Amino acid sequence: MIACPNCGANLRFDAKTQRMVCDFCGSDFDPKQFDVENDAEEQSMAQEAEPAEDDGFETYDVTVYTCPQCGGELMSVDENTAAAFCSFCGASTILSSRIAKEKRPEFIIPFSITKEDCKEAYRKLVKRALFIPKEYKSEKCIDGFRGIYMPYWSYDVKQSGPVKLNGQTEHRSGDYIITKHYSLTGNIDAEYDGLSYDASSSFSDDISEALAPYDITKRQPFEPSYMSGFYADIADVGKEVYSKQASALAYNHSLERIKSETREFRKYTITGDNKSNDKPGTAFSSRTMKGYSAMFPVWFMSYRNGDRVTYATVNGQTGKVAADLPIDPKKYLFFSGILAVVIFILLNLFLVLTPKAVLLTASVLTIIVFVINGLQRTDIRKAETGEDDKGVIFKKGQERLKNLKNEKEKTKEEKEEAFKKLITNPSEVKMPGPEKAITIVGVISIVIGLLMAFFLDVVSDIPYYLLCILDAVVFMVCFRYTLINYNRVATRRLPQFDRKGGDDRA
Amino acid sequence: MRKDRSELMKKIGILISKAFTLSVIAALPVILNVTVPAMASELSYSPVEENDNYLLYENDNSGYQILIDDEADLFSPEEEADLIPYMAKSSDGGFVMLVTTDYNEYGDADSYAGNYYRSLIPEESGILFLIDMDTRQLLFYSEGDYHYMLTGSIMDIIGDNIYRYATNGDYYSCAVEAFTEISDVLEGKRIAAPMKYISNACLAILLALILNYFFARIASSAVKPSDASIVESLFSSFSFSDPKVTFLHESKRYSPRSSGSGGSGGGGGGGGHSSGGHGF
Repeated sequence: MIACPNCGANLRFDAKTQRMVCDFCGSDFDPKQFDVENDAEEQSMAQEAEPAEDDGFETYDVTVYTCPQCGGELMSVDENTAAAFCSFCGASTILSSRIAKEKRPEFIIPFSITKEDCKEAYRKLVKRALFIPKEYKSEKCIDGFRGIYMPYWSYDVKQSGPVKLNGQTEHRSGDYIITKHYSLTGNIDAEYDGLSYDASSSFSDDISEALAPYDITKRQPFEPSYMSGFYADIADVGKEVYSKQASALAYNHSLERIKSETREFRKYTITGDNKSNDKPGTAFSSRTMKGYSAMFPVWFMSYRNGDRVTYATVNGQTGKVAADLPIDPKKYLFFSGILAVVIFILLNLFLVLTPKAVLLTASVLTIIVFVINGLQRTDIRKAETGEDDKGVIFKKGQERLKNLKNEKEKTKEEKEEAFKKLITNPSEVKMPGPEKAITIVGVISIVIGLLMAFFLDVVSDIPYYLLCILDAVVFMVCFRYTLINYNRVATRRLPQFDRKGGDDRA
Repeated sequence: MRKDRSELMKKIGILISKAFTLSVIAALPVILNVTVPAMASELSYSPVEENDNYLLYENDNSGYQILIDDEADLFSPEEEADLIPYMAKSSDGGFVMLVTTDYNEYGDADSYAGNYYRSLIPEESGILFLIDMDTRQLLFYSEGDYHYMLTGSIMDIIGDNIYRYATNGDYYSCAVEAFTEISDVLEGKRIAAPMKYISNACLAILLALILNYFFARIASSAVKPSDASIVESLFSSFSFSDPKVTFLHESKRYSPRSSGSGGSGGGGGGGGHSSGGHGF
């Protein structure tokens, strides 16, 4: 707790004024003037606190709140705060707390968006989301936003030394294409300080990417006082995880600048240096010199519905919103009905389709639904296994490696296979039986329809219309799964399924 | 307040579903409307030439001619005579022809109808209804003003409405229905298009569901920042010096210029087109 020097009440950091304010006596102070470590009371408490894992870092004292249902942890510098709900699984429960020491981050971007600003930004987003269930627009739900500092790794990437690129020009001479090859060289001296990636496996990469960018130039040296009145997530992803990604981003950006800003190179097509988001190319050196920990502000709200949870987040510095937006099937059908009336009128005004064309259109629409459902299953697999989330992969890998140390008798291949199984579990997104059956019926119907339309000269319109009806039925049944899958993609599994210590029955 | 809103939403929902049902019901009279062939008693037309090969009449008011060329011998002489009044009703603005054939040297009904029409009246407005027994096609071909009034969509609807007669071998009813519907369209009346409304309603529902899906996807997709905007928010510096270009080598690959066929020649005369039809 950071006490008011005037009255001893709890101070909180005010995002609007960027000052520490006392709600009791109305005083306000510069956040930088408080050093919690020097407080005598805090000192004694710190001695009782659990030590941080790595003694090589500076530490600060926090109260760690643990959700009894999902095992999720949040920390706060205000030990008197009683957290009554979990931001990760949305459970309304009193979180257990303990005093601990945490590694002190090097930098922090303080909250500058107030809760009211955050709620307004979210309201604007959900206003545009026509199909969102009304619960997501309720004041009770919106009031659940909680200010959380998310741990990030910030990287400093340096590029210096010679640059060697391959360039070419092409021109035609008679029946030949003449290609001239050149070596394009120069020297680069560039630095990118502050490329940031989230360091919490509970904070999905898709959310952190959507909330970016943060204005790194506004960062401040870390002071626990900035956290007063807010919570913070705990870093559990190693800094090596995003190091190459940071270096690749810097590399790609510099390469683009070399191509676009160097007058001498403009007429050449640069070849042989394919862009990758995971590792830098080889035309010049791009090295991550340093990775340092930082805290970035996020307004975070979770809404639990059965065994699924949705997250809504607002960048605490810029007000950018990223939220899961599920759909209410009733609203969806209602607005689809309106749109259907409009389309019906337009079709009647401008179009008369022959039975063949009607059948082909119905078949194409049914195929589109099949493709959508297939793509959705891939999205579900990726979301539920976290195979695209470097933080999740790292966390699972760490857990697995711990176990593998005790299984030395296993061969390397067995270990790799076990690891692969752990990070991807395709069996989770099998096509349900009824959907499979109706898909088979649909495929047969489409094949017969195409055969009839293009190869068999069927004169009567009746078979075309019968197949259209069959396609429409298949479409409707499959579209039901499209809506179910949509909501599965737009929501998340409860985190207790991934966390050690979480209650699976919750 | 919320209750009011949900009730309002419910009412709007009911209203829209009613509107949709009503629009379908409103279409029903059109759907169920069976155009009854009416005898063209007020028409004045007179024979120009009658022989074994064809029947040629002239509309006394407009001067346009009415031709029946029954090469496939699908109609009896009485039926041909009975058909003239139905055809005459459409002859106020152009020529009207009923042509049947059992040998199509062009292989497709389109070409046959076009060539037949242009060989007789190259630049005049008119409509030709072809019953092609060789390719088993019913086809409408129009020119001039009729080309704009009898659109492809309308011809497709008429084709849908009459093909069953031809399939059953009732060519007389087929021709009567075809010319009755053509004259109805020319007079500004609506023709029965049951399947048009049913299939459009069905497609509208499927399209609306799909379009809303894409709309929902787009509305919910997070905008990820570009690399440039990320770099803008960092402490960054960039300099590139001593740019040099050194020639290495030259290579060539064989890539013959496309020989082409010298273009596709000029198009045919404007205006004419095959308007639509149906197999039988």
